[in-house]
Amino acid sequence: MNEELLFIKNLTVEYSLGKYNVRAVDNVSLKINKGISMGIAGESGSGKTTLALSILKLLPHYARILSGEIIFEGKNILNLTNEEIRKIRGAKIGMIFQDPSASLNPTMKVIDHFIELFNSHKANLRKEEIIEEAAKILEEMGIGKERLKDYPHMLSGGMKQRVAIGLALALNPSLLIADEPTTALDVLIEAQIIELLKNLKKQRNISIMLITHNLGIISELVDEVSIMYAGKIVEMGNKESIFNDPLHPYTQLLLQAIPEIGIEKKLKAIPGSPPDLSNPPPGCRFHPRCPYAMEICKKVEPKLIEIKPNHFVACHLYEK
Amino acid sequence: MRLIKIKGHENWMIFIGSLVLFVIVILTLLYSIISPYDPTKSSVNIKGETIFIKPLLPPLSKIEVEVNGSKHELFFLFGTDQVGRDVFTRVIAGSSFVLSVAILATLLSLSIGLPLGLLSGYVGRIYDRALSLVMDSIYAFPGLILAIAVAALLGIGLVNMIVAIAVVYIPSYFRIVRGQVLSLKEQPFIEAAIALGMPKTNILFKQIMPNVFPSLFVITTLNIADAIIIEAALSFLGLGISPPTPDWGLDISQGKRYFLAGAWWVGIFPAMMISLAVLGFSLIGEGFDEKLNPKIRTK
Amino acid sequence: MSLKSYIITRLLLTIPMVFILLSIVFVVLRVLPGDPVTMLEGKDIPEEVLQRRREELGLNKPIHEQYLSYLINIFQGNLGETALTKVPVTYFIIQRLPATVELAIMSMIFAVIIGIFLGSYGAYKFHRPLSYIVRIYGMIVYSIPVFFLGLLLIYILSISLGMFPTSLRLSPLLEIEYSTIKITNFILIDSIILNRYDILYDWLHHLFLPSLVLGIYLSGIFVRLTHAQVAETLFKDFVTAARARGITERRILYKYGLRNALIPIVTMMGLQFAALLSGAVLTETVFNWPGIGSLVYESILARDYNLVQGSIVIYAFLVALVSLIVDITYAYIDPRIRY
Repeated sequence: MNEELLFIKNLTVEYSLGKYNVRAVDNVSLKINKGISMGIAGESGSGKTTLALSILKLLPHYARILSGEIIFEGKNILNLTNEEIRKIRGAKIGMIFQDPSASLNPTMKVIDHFIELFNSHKANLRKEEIIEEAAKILEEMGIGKERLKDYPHMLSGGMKQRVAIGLALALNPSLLIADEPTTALDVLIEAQIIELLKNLKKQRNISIMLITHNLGIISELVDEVSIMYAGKIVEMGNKESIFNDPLHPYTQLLLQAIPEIGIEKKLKAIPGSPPDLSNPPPGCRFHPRCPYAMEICKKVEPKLIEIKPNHFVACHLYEK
Repeated sequence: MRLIKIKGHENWMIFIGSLVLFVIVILTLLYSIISPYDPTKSSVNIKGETIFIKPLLPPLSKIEVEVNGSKHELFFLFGTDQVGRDVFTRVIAGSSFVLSVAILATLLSLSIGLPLGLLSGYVGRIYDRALSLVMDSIYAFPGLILAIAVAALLGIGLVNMIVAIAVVYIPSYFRIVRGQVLSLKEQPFIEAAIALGMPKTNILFKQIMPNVFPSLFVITTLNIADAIIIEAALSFLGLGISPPTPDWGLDISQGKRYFLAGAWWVGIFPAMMISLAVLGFSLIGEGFDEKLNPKIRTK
Repeated sequence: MSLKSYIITRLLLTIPMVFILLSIVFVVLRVLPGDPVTMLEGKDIPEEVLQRRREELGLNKPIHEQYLSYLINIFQGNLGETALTKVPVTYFIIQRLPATVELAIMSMIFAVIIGIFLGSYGAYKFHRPLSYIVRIYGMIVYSIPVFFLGLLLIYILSISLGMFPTSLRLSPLLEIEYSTIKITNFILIDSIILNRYDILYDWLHHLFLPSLVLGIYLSGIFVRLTHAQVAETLFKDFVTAARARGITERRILYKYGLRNALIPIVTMMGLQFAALLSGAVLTETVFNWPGIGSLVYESILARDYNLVQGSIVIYAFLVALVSLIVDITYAYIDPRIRY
């Protein structure tokens, strides 16, 4: 169970936007082992979506991977040819996105999506076999198989997301990347989807990389957590350890910002705003908003150090 | 270009379009100074003597002529046409005619389509639906054919051409204005104005119309570009103006036999002017349209 | 709403449209100031002759009577007779309509092919120079008058290089032969039925240049439209999602990029129909292609009132018909429209 599934090593991704260059992901490393699920949390602009897109090389043309490696099943994805990557997508690594409407082609029926998927990966199934398989998958996702002949606009948001999950898992990948899968859905549906993902994780023994800004749902689904801020990982490790004992000031503020039902608490917003990544603050990127900022924080960038077993943090407060 | 910074492709479009039109207009206004030739005559007057010019001289031809003992050089930048008129002069002079027709026709169209659109959109109900159906039908009908029908009926001549072309664009103005009125009608600031007791005409003119202007400007420039093409087509078919008035379409029509025989300058230069004038207006119109409704989003 | 009920509704809408178009033609040709007879016949003709013409054409009757008989005649298929030969106008139109249909179809094919290939390739390479060139292609083609384009290509390909004939639909000898053996007046159909492949080839040889010219003229907007649509689609999220599922690039370009561009392209084909008809008038005139486009021109030259009216009425019907077909095809391709 300690076998390495995905290893991102020193990844740096830069966007060129006209005059400015923005390092959305700056020297990020993380590892996901088989059977382990990881949550990546952070505000918008922290680089988490860029990180996710990089894994399958789905970045837009104005983004460039400056350095780093992404090792999946022993091979560096960044060195593979386009055709080799294409074979991984959908089959070995699945991905679902934030906007379920945007994941499906509006002019194709649900079943057509499945047919296209299977044909693109040379599953060598006849059409009837694909329909059977698709029906089974939809059932697993909690959708009736009569929905196969529907067009996406005839499905609700939650249903569309289920279809997207079904498509992502149809070919039994070992890793599912979920980029803010419930952000566009309302709370009740969100709970259902998270529940679905929990069951799927157990039944299929699959690793999930869940990207979100909502720490609440992370706790149900993942084993490990990485907290991202301004393109860097500031805290990483075992979920319980981080939630019970958040070390990085940013993590602490994030957790405080979660409203808890039944507990009267002042809703604390995190002061300040995320930094301008075309010109990031020197030293620790969080120092302008950090309540504990010291002199060294303004000059030297802190490195990720293991403070407790499987609990890493990048903060000068703990460098002793 | 270091003095002016032009950023963004739509600004470049507006700039180049305006530049092209500016050059055309300047040349047109100054042609009598630039060129010694009369666009309608195949002869030139030097020191009281009338010298006839050879037809079908290729571009950059120079002719030496002796008048009263002194030598004069005649230069034909674009060559001469089949009757002996200087093509350059004719082409430049033609722009005043063509541009006037196109602009006047479009303005006439605007003056009819705008009020109709305003009223129809504002009043609504069955009048609006009926008028819209009529306008949509006209809009669907090929513009050139409509212009041909009207021109055939009215006959050749400047005013008739203007009317014929104007008819074509009335629906486009109607639609754009009506569309804007309909969407603006529901806006809160209009409701507020009504709630404040503003008279309806006041609302129409002071509130709604100014919001319509930007789209109107775009449509007008594009319609002028289109009108130039229809004008050229009408004169090519002989439904426009009669010779010897300089007109690009007419020149191509009259010169086509010679063009096909090899005198390429007789056709190319008028055609080039048509293209430049159309491009000028199109660039400006499209440039502003891009500003108002950006279509090309790369991110 | 199912496709069937949409079709029925749309068909019903066509009726008022046809009426409006016919009325517009009537208004233009009879109600507008200007005496059609004088205009068409010319000013040197003695007044009695003009009066007689007016009688013949029924222009002296009250307007509403004229309107009524105009409409009744049209729906009976009677478009009057030509002034010179007294041959029914309808005959001329039926004779020449197939030629225009041939030209229209071939031109549209050229236009769409040029449009789709240039446009989608330019969109695929969005940030390379080709894409920028493709984007201005539309504007440049629009600004060149189609009749000049015709003359230019005639000069280059026909006269200089001798690759194509300069005008007409068939070579003179074959034309005479064809007129005696023709069945439907559609050369494509007839030549295959009659096994006369020499006529087929001759026809294609003549058809190429005019339809290329008209096709280029129409392609401008197709290139621009395809480019914009494919580019926009390729940047859409569901394309990224499809890529994330491992769908091949080729399929993405065609099934996703182009497919979602098809709807606007089909609509545009219908909208371009008006431009096609206008362009056809000019193209047919330049190439002496015997269709109804050049019929309009010739009838004006010949000052034949009924012929002018008849050809324009036909245009009205064609416009209504194509508008109907486009809307129905649109509804078929994009299921969202029907609901």
